[in-house]
Amino acid sequence: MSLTLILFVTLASFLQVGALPVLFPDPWSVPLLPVALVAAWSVNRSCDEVWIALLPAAVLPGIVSTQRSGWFLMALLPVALIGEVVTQTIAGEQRGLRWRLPATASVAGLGTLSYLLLLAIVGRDLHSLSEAIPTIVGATLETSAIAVVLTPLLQPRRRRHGLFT
Amino acid sequence: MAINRSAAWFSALLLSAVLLLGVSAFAPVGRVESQARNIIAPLVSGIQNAVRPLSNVIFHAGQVRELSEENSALRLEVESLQAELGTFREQRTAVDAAATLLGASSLAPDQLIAAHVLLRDPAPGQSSLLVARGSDDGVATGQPALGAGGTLVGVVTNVEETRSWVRLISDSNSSISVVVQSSRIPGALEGAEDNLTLEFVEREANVAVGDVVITSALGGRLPPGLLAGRVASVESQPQDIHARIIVEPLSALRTIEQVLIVTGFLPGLDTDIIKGTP
Repeated sequence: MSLTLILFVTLASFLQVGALPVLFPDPWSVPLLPVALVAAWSVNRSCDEVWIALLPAAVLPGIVSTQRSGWFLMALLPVALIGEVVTQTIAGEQRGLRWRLPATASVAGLGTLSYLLLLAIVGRDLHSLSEAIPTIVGATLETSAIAVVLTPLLQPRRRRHGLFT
Repeated sequence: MAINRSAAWFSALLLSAVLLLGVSAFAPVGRVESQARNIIAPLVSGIQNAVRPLSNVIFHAGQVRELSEENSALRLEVESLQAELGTFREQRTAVDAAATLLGASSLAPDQLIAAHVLLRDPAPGQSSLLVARGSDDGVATGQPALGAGGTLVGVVTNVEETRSWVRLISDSNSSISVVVQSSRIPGALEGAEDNLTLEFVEREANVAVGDVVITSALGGRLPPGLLAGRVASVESQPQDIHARIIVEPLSALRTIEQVLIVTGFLPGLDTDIIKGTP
Protein backbone atom coordinates (compact mmCIF):
# COMPACT_ATOMS: atom_id res chain seq x y z
CA MET A 1 0.00 0.00 0.00
CA SER A 2 3.00 2.28 0.37
CA LEU A 3 3.29 2.32 -3.40
CA THR A 4 -0.28 3.60 -3.69
CA LEU A 5 0.45 6.32 -1.18
CA ILE A 6 3.68 7.27 -2.97
CA LEU A 7 1.70 7.59 -6.21
CA PHE A 8 -0.99 9.70 -4.54
CA VAL A 9 1.57 11.90 -2.80
CA THR A 10 3.47 12.44 -6.07
CA LEU A 11 0.24 13.47 -7.81
CA ALA A 12 -0.64 15.72 -4.87
CA SER A 13 2.82 17.32 -5.06
CA PHE A 14 2.37 18.04 -8.76
CA LEU A 15 -0.98 19.69 -8.01
CA GLN A 16 0.64 21.55 -5.12
CA VAL A 17 3.37 23.14 -7.24
CA GLY A 18 1.32 23.42 -10.44
CA ALA A 19 -2.34 24.09 -9.82
CA LEU A 20 -2.61 25.58 -6.34
CA PRO A 21 -0.32 28.61 -6.84
CA VAL A 22 -2.69 29.68 -9.66
CA LEU A 23 -5.80 29.22 -7.52
CA PHE A 24 -4.24 30.76 -4.38
CA PRO A 25 -2.07 33.73 -5.40
CA ASP A 26 -0.95 34.41 -1.82
CA PRO A 27 1.81 31.83 -1.13
CA TRP A 28 0.90 31.64 2.56
CA SER A 29 -2.75 30.83 1.85
CA VAL A 30 -2.13 27.68 -0.18
CA PRO A 31 -3.50 24.50 1.48
CA LEU A 32 -0.91 21.74 1.60
CA LEU A 33 -2.24 18.70 -0.27
CA PRO A 34 0.66 16.32 0.52
CA VAL A 35 0.41 17.23 4.21
CA ALA A 36 -3.36 16.57 4.18
CA LEU A 37 -2.83 13.23 2.44
CA VAL A 38 -0.02 12.10 4.74
CA ALA A 39 -2.00 13.15 7.82
CA ALA A 40 -5.15 11.35 6.68
CA TRP A 41 -3.22 8.22 5.72
CA SER A 42 -1.26 8.06 8.97
CA VAL A 43 -4.42 8.26 11.10
CA ASN A 44 -6.69 6.10 8.97
CA ARG A 45 -4.31 3.59 7.43
CA SER A 46 -0.85 3.06 8.79
CA CYS A 47 1.77 5.37 10.26
CA ASP A 48 4.52 3.07 9.00
CA GLU A 49 3.53 3.61 5.38
CA VAL A 50 3.73 7.38 5.37
CA TRP A 51 7.44 7.80 6.10
CA ILE A 52 8.70 6.71 2.69
CA ALA A 53 6.04 8.86 0.98
CA LEU A 54 7.65 11.98 2.46
CA LEU A 55 10.51 11.66 -0.03
CA PRO A 56 8.54 12.41 -3.23
CA ALA A 57 6.56 15.05 -1.31
CA ALA A 58 9.85 16.80 -0.53
CA VAL A 59 11.91 16.20 -3.66
CA LEU A 60 9.40 17.55 -6.19
CA PRO A 61 8.92 21.00 -4.59
CA GLY A 62 12.66 21.06 -3.92
CA ILE A 63 13.40 20.67 -7.62
CA VAL A 64 11.09 23.50 -8.67
CA SER A 65 11.99 25.83 -5.82
CA THR A 66 14.88 28.01 -4.72
CA GLN A 67 14.58 26.21 -1.39
CA ARG A 68 16.48 22.91 -1.00
CA SER A 69 14.73 19.52 -0.99
CA GLY A 70 16.37 18.74 2.37
CA TRP A 71 14.48 21.59 4.01
CA PHE A 72 11.18 20.41 2.54
CA LEU A 73 11.90 16.91 3.88
CA MET A 74 12.68 18.29 7.34
CA ALA A 75 9.51 20.38 7.22
CA LEU A 76 7.44 17.28 6.41
CA LEU A 77 8.92 15.06 9.13
CA PRO A 78 6.77 16.56 11.93
CA VAL A 79 3.61 15.61 10.00
CA ALA A 80 4.45 11.91 10.15
CA LEU A 81 5.77 12.28 13.69
CA ILE A 82 2.59 13.99 14.92
CA GLY A 83 0.52 11.33 13.15
CA GLU A 84 2.51 8.63 14.93
CA VAL A 85 2.17 10.31 18.33
CA VAL A 86 -1.58 10.91 17.96
CA THR A 87 -2.24 7.38 16.75
CA GLN A 88 -0.07 5.74 19.41
CA THR A 89 -1.41 7.91 22.23
CA ILE A 90 -5.02 7.16 21.56
CA ALA A 91 -4.48 3.66 20.16
CA GLY A 92 -6.64 0.99 21.70
CA GLU A 93 -9.36 3.46 22.52
CA GLN A 94 -12.28 4.30 20.33
CA ARG A 95 -11.09 4.24 16.68
CA GLY A 96 -14.36 4.99 14.90
CA LEU A 97 -14.99 7.83 12.48
CA ARG A 98 -15.84 10.08 15.41
CA TRP A 99 -12.27 9.64 16.63
CA ARG A 100 -10.63 9.66 13.23
CA LEU A 101 -12.05 12.96 11.99
CA PRO A 102 -10.72 15.22 14.79
CA ALA A 103 -7.49 13.22 14.95
CA THR A 104 -6.90 13.67 11.20
CA ALA A 105 -7.76 17.37 11.38
CA SER A 106 -5.37 17.86 14.30
CA VAL A 107 -2.48 16.06 12.61
CA ALA A 108 -3.02 17.99 9.37
CA GLY A 109 -3.36 21.32 11.17
CA LEU A 110 -0.32 20.89 13.40
CA GLY A 111 1.63 19.48 10.46
CA THR A 112 0.78 22.51 8.32
CA LEU A 113 1.83 24.93 11.05
CA SER A 114 5.15 23.17 11.66
CA TYR A 115 5.80 22.93 7.88
CA LEU A 116 5.21 26.65 7.31
CA LEU A 117 7.12 27.67 10.42
CA LEU A 118 10.22 25.65 9.53
CA LEU A 119 10.27 26.87 5.92
CA ALA A 120 9.80 30.46 7.10
CA ILE A 121 12.73 30.08 9.49
CA VAL A 122 15.09 28.62 6.89
CA GLY A 123 13.90 31.18 4.34
CA ARG A 124 14.58 33.95 6.89
CA ASP A 125 11.06 35.14 6.36
CA LEU A 126 9.75 35.41 9.91
CA HIS A 127 8.66 39.01 9.32
CA SER A 128 6.25 37.94 6.56
CA LEU A 129 5.19 34.99 8.71
CA SER A 130 4.07 37.27 11.52
CA GLU A 131 2.14 39.46 9.07
CA ALA A 132 0.54 36.47 7.39
CA ILE A 133 -0.84 34.82 10.54
CA PRO A 134 -4.55 35.17 9.51
CA THR A 135 -3.72 33.75 6.08
CA ILE A 136 -1.77 30.88 7.66
CA VAL A 137 -4.69 30.08 9.93
CA GLY A 138 -6.84 29.91 6.79
CA ALA A 139 -4.36 27.58 5.05
CA THR A 140 -4.23 25.39 8.16
CA LEU A 141 -8.01 25.10 8.30
CA GLU A 142 -8.16 24.37 4.56
CA THR A 143 -5.53 21.64 4.88
CA SER A 144 -7.38 20.15 7.86
CA ALA A 145 -10.65 20.26 5.92
CA ILE A 146 -9.07 18.44 2.97
CA ALA A 147 -7.65 15.81 5.33
CA VAL A 148 -11.09 15.38 6.92
CA VAL A 149 -12.69 14.94 3.49
CA LEU A 150 -10.08 12.28 2.69
CA THR A 151 -10.77 10.40 5.93
CA PRO A 152 -13.84 8.40 4.84
CA LEU A 153 -12.18 7.70 1.49
CA LEU A 154 -9.11 6.24 3.15
CA GLN A 155 -10.85 4.08 5.69
CA PRO A 156 -9.60 0.55 5.07
CA ARG A 157 -12.04 -1.92 3.70
CA ARG A 158 -12.61 -4.50 6.37
CA ARG A 159 -13.19 -8.13 5.47
CA ARG A 160 -16.76 -9.01 6.25
CA HIS A 161 -17.15 -12.40 7.84
CA GLY A 162 -20.15 -14.15 6.39
CA LEU A 163 -21.85 -17.33 7.42
CA PHE A 164 -19.45 -19.62 5.56
CA THR A 165 -16.22 -17.63 5.77
CA MET B 1 8.04 -2.27 18.36
CA ALA B 2 6.07 0.17 16.19
CA ILE B 3 7.68 3.07 18.04
CA ASN B 4 11.15 1.66 17.39
CA ARG B 5 10.34 1.29 13.70
CA SER B 6 9.06 4.86 13.53
CA ALA B 7 12.12 6.14 15.36
CA ALA B 8 14.29 4.36 12.82
CA TRP B 9 12.32 5.90 9.94
CA PHE B 10 12.50 9.34 11.51
CA SER B 11 16.25 9.08 12.03
CA ALA B 12 16.85 7.76 8.51
CA LEU B 13 14.79 10.53 6.91
CA LEU B 14 16.38 13.20 9.08
CA LEU B 15 19.77 11.91 7.98
CA SER B 16 18.57 11.91 4.36
CA ALA B 17 17.46 15.51 4.73
CA VAL B 18 20.85 16.51 6.12
CA LEU B 19 22.58 14.59 3.31
CA LEU B 20 20.37 16.27 0.70
CA LEU B 21 21.28 19.65 2.15
CA GLY B 22 24.96 18.72 2.19
CA VAL B 23 25.23 17.35 -1.33
CA SER B 24 23.10 20.10 -2.89
CA ALA B 25 26.11 22.40 -2.69
CA PHE B 26 28.07 20.21 -5.11
CA ALA B 27 27.98 21.10 -8.80
CA PRO B 28 27.13 17.59 -10.17
CA VAL B 29 24.06 17.43 -7.91
CA GLY B 30 23.07 20.90 -9.09
CA ARG B 31 23.33 19.69 -12.68
CA VAL B 32 21.13 16.67 -11.94
CA GLU B 33 18.62 18.97 -10.24
CA SER B 34 18.72 21.29 -13.25
CA GLN B 35 18.06 18.39 -15.63
CA ALA B 36 15.18 17.21 -13.46
CA ARG B 37 13.83 20.77 -13.46
CA ASN B 38 13.98 20.83 -17.27
CA ILE B 39 11.74 17.75 -17.32
CA ILE B 40 9.36 18.79 -14.54
CA ALA B 41 8.99 22.50 -15.30
CA PRO B 42 7.05 22.01 -18.58
CA LEU B 43 4.72 19.57 -16.81
CA VAL B 44 4.08 22.01 -13.99
CA SER B 45 3.68 24.83 -16.47
CA GLY B 46 1.15 22.70 -18.38
CA ILE B 47 -0.85 22.12 -15.20
CA GLN B 48 -0.81 25.86 -14.49
CA ASN B 49 -2.04 26.68 -17.99
CA ALA B 50 -4.80 24.08 -17.64
CA VAL B 51 -5.93 25.49 -14.29
CA ARG B 52 -5.68 29.18 -15.23
CA PRO B 53 -9.10 29.34 -16.99
CA LEU B 54 -10.65 27.79 -13.87
CA SER B 55 -8.97 30.37 -11.66
CA ASN B 56 -10.22 33.14 -13.96
CA VAL B 57 -13.77 31.80 -13.59
CA ILE B 58 -13.41 31.59 -9.80
CA PHE B 59 -11.87 35.03 -9.35
CA HIS B 60 -14.18 36.77 -11.81
CA ALA B 61 -17.44 34.94 -11.08
CA GLY B 62 -20.32 37.37 -10.79
CA GLN B 63 -18.43 40.10 -12.59
CA VAL B 64 -19.64 39.29 -16.11
CA ARG B 65 -21.70 42.48 -16.41
CA GLU B 66 -18.92 44.69 -15.07
CA LEU B 67 -16.39 42.98 -17.33
CA SER B 68 -18.66 43.45 -20.34
CA GLU B 69 -19.02 47.17 -19.62
CA GLU B 70 -15.30 47.45 -18.98
CA ASN B 71 -14.65 45.66 -22.25
CA SER B 72 -16.79 48.17 -24.19
CA ALA B 73 -15.03 51.10 -22.51
CA LEU B 74 -11.65 49.56 -23.23
CA ARG B 75 -12.53 49.03 -26.90
CA LEU B 76 -13.31 52.74 -27.21
CA GLU B 77 -10.09 53.57 -25.42
CA VAL B 78 -8.08 51.27 -27.70
CA GLU B 79 -9.49 52.99 -30.76
CA SER B 80 -8.53 56.44 -29.49
CA LEU B 81 -5.12 55.18 -28.35
CA GLN B 82 -4.44 53.67 -31.77
CA ALA B 83 -5.03 57.08 -33.26
CA GLU B 84 -2.64 58.63 -30.74
CA LEU B 85 -0.11 55.87 -31.38
CA GLY B 86 0.24 56.92 -34.99
CA THR B 87 1.16 60.41 -33.88
CA PHE B 88 3.60 59.15 -31.26
CA ARG B 89 5.32 56.87 -33.76
CA GLU B 90 6.15 59.85 -35.87
CA GLN B 91 7.45 61.74 -32.85
CA ARG B 92 9.48 58.68 -31.74
CA THR B 93 11.21 58.53 -35.07
CA ALA B 94 12.28 62.14 -34.66
CA VAL B 95 13.44 61.55 -31.05
CA ASP B 96 15.44 58.44 -32.04
CA ALA B 97 17.18 60.38 -34.74
CA ALA B 98 18.02 63.13 -32.25
CA ALA B 99 19.30 60.57 -29.70
CA THR B 100 21.56 59.01 -32.30
CA LEU B 101 22.97 62.39 -33.11
CA LEU B 102 23.61 63.14 -29.44
CA GLY B 103 25.12 59.68 -28.85
CA ALA B 104 22.93 59.11 -25.84
CA SER B 105 22.34 55.56 -24.59
CA SER B 106 18.84 54.28 -23.89
CA LEU B 107 17.12 51.00 -23.12
CA ALA B 108 17.09 49.64 -26.66
CA PRO B 109 15.06 46.57 -27.68
CA ASP B 110 18.25 44.58 -28.29
CA GLN B 111 19.12 45.02 -24.60
CA LEU B 112 15.92 43.25 -23.55
CA ILE B 113 14.81 39.67 -23.85
CA ALA B 114 11.29 38.40 -23.19
CA ALA B 115 10.99 35.40 -20.87
CA HIS B 116 7.89 33.36 -20.06
CA VAL B 117 7.27 32.51 -16.42
CA LEU B 118 7.44 28.73 -16.13
CA LEU B 119 6.52 28.49 -12.49
CA ARG B 120 6.45 30.22 -9.15
CA ASP B 121 8.52 29.13 -6.21
CA PRO B 122 6.17 26.90 -4.18
CA ALA B 123 8.11 27.45 -0.94
CA PRO B 124 5.99 29.68 1.31
CA GLY B 125 7.52 33.10 1.78
CA GLN B 126 9.75 32.82 -1.30
CA SER B 127 8.69 35.18 -4.09
CA SER B 128 10.71 33.91 -7.03
CA LEU B 129 9.87 32.97 -10.60
CA LEU B 130 11.50 30.39 -12.85
CA VAL B 131 11.67 31.91 -16.34
CA ALA B 132 12.43 30.24 -19.66
CA ARG B 133 15.64 32.10 -20.49
CA GLY B 134 19.14 31.37 -19.30
CA SER B 135 22.82 31.98 -19.88
CA ASP B 136 22.45 30.71 -23.49
CA ASP B 137 20.26 33.78 -24.11
CA GLY B 138 22.65 36.21 -22.45
CA VAL B 139 20.97 36.28 -19.05
CA ALA B 140 23.33 36.89 -16.12
CA THR B 141 22.94 37.13 -12.36
CA GLY B 142 21.97 40.60 -11.18
CA GLN B 143 20.18 41.68 -14.33
CA PRO B 144 16.83 43.38 -13.71
CA ALA B 145 13.53 41.87 -14.86
CA LEU B 146 10.81 44.21 -16.02
CA GLY B 147 7.05 43.80 -16.12
CA ALA B 148 4.26 45.61 -17.90
CA GLY B 149 5.19 49.16 -18.83
CA GLY B 150 8.89 48.54 -18.20
CA THR B 151 8.50 48.61 -14.43
CA LEU B 152 10.96 46.70 -12.27
CA VAL B 153 9.54 43.41 -11.01
CA GLY B 154 12.66 41.60 -9.84
CA VAL B 155 16.30 40.70 -10.25
CA VAL B 156 17.89 37.57 -11.71
CA THR B 157 19.44 35.62 -8.84
CA ASN B 158 20.42 32.29 -10.35
CA VAL B 159 21.12 31.35 -13.95
CA GLU B 160 21.16 27.98 -15.69
CA GLU B 161 21.75 27.35 -19.37
CA THR B 162 18.13 27.66 -20.45
CA ARG B 163 16.36 28.88 -17.31
CA SER B 164 16.81 31.49 -14.60
CA TRP B 165 15.36 32.38 -11.24
CA VAL B 166 14.05 35.92 -10.81
CA ARG B 167 13.62 37.13 -7.22
CA LEU B 168 10.62 39.47 -7.14
CA ILE B 169 10.93 42.84 -5.44
CA SER B 170 8.22 41.65 -3.02
CA ASP B 171 10.47 38.86 -1.67
CA SER B 172 11.38 39.45 1.94
CA ASN B 173 15.09 39.08 1.05
CA SER B 174 14.89 41.74 -1.67
CA SER B 175 16.43 45.15 -0.99
CA ILE B 176 16.90 47.68 -3.78
CA SER B 177 18.56 51.07 -3.81
CA VAL B 178 15.99 53.64 -4.97
CA VAL B 179 15.18 57.35 -5.03
CA VAL B 180 11.85 59.15 -4.85
CA GLN B 181 11.59 60.64 -8.34
CA SER B 182 10.18 64.06 -7.44
CA SER B 183 12.28 64.89 -4.37
CA ARG B 184 15.39 62.73 -5.19
CA ILE B 185 15.33 61.35 -1.63
CA PRO B 186 17.25 58.05 -1.49
CA GLY B 187 16.11 54.94 0.35
CA ALA B 188 16.02 51.16 0.27
CA LEU B 189 12.99 49.44 -1.23
CA GLU B 190 12.41 46.21 0.65
CA GLY B 191 10.01 43.36 0.00
CA ALA B 192 7.15 42.86 2.42
CA GLU B 193 4.40 40.41 1.45
CA ASP B 194 1.85 42.29 -0.72
CA ASN B 195 3.44 45.71 -0.72
CA LEU B 196 6.94 47.11 -0.46
CA THR B 197 8.42 49.34 2.20
CA LEU B 198 10.71 52.29 1.64
CA GLU B 199 13.27 52.20 4.41
CA PHE B 200 15.82 54.69 5.77
CA VAL B 201 13.87 57.81 4.77
CA GLU B 202 13.88 60.47 7.45
CA ARG B 203 10.62 61.40 9.12
CA GLU B 204 10.67 64.99 7.86
CA ALA B 205 11.57 64.00 4.30
CA ASN B 206 9.45 65.38 1.50
CA VAL B 207 7.65 62.20 0.42
CA ALA B 208 3.95 62.20 -0.44
CA VAL B 209 1.38 59.61 -1.42
CA GLY B 210 1.50 59.08 -5.18
CA ASP B 211 5.21 59.85 -5.54
CA VAL B 212 6.95 57.52 -7.96
CA VAL B 213 9.94 55.51 -6.77
CA ILE B 214 12.70 54.68 -9.27
CA THR B 215 15.91 52.69 -9.05
CA SER B 216 19.13 54.44 -8.14
CA ALA B 217 22.64 53.95 -9.50
CA LEU B 218 23.95 53.73 -5.93
CA GLY B 219 26.05 50.57 -5.63
CA GLY B 220 25.85 49.87 -9.36
CA ARG B 221 23.59 46.86 -8.78
CA LEU B 222 20.75 48.10 -10.99
CA PRO B 223 20.44 50.52 -13.88
CA PRO B 224 19.11 53.84 -12.56
CA GLY B 225 15.76 55.23 -13.56
CA LEU B 226 13.67 52.05 -13.66
CA LEU B 227 10.16 52.54 -12.29
CA ALA B 228 9.84 50.47 -9.11
CA GLY B 229 6.60 51.55 -7.43
CA ARG B 230 4.33 54.29 -6.19
CA VAL B 231 4.08 55.57 -2.61
CA ALA B 232 0.81 54.27 -1.15
CA SER B 233 1.05 55.63 2.39
CA VAL B 234 3.37 57.67 4.59
CA GLU B 235 3.15 57.42 8.35
CA SER B 236 5.38 58.61 11.13
CA GLN B 237 5.21 59.13 14.86
CA PRO B 238 7.03 61.98 16.65
CA GLN B 239 9.42 59.47 18.26
CA ASP B 240 10.33 57.82 14.93
CA ILE B 241 13.62 58.56 13.20
CA HIS B 242 12.45 57.15 9.89
CA ALA B 243 9.06 57.41 8.24
CA ARG B 244 7.03 54.26 7.58
CA ILE B 245 6.44 54.38 3.87
CA ILE B 246 4.46 51.75 2.02
CA VAL B 247 5.08 51.49 -1.71
CA GLU B 248 2.78 49.59 -4.07
CA PRO B 249 4.40 47.83 -7.02
CA LEU B 250 3.36 49.07 -10.45
CA SER B 251 2.96 45.54 -11.84
CA ALA B 252 0.67 42.76 -10.60
CA LEU B 253 3.49 40.63 -9.20
CA ARG B 254 1.31 37.68 -8.23
CA THR B 255 -0.14 37.13 -11.67
CA ILE B 256 2.80 38.01 -13.87
CA GLU B 257 3.21 35.62 -16.81
CA GLN B 258 6.04 37.19 -18.78
CA VAL B 259 9.01 39.40 -17.96
CA LEU B 260 11.59 41.36 -19.90
CA ILE B 261 15.17 40.79 -18.76
CA VAL B 262 17.61 43.63 -19.34
CA THR B 263 20.44 41.54 -20.82
CA GLY B 264 22.25 44.70 -21.86
CA PHE B 265 22.99 45.51 -18.22
CA LEU B 266 25.99 44.09 -16.38
CA PRO B 267 25.81 44.75 -12.62
CA GLY B 268 28.64 46.91 -11.38
CA LEU B 269 29.69 47.96 -14.88
CA ASP B 270 26.85 49.76 -16.64
CA THR B 271 25.19 52.65 -14.91
CA ASP B 272 24.05 54.74 -17.83
CA ILE B 273 21.83 52.27 -19.62
CA ILE B 274 18.79 54.47 -19.18
CA LYS B 275 18.53 58.10 -19.95
CA GLY B 276 17.82 60.60 -17.20
CA THR B 277 19.90 58.90 -14.52
CA PRO B 278 19.59 60.31 -11.01
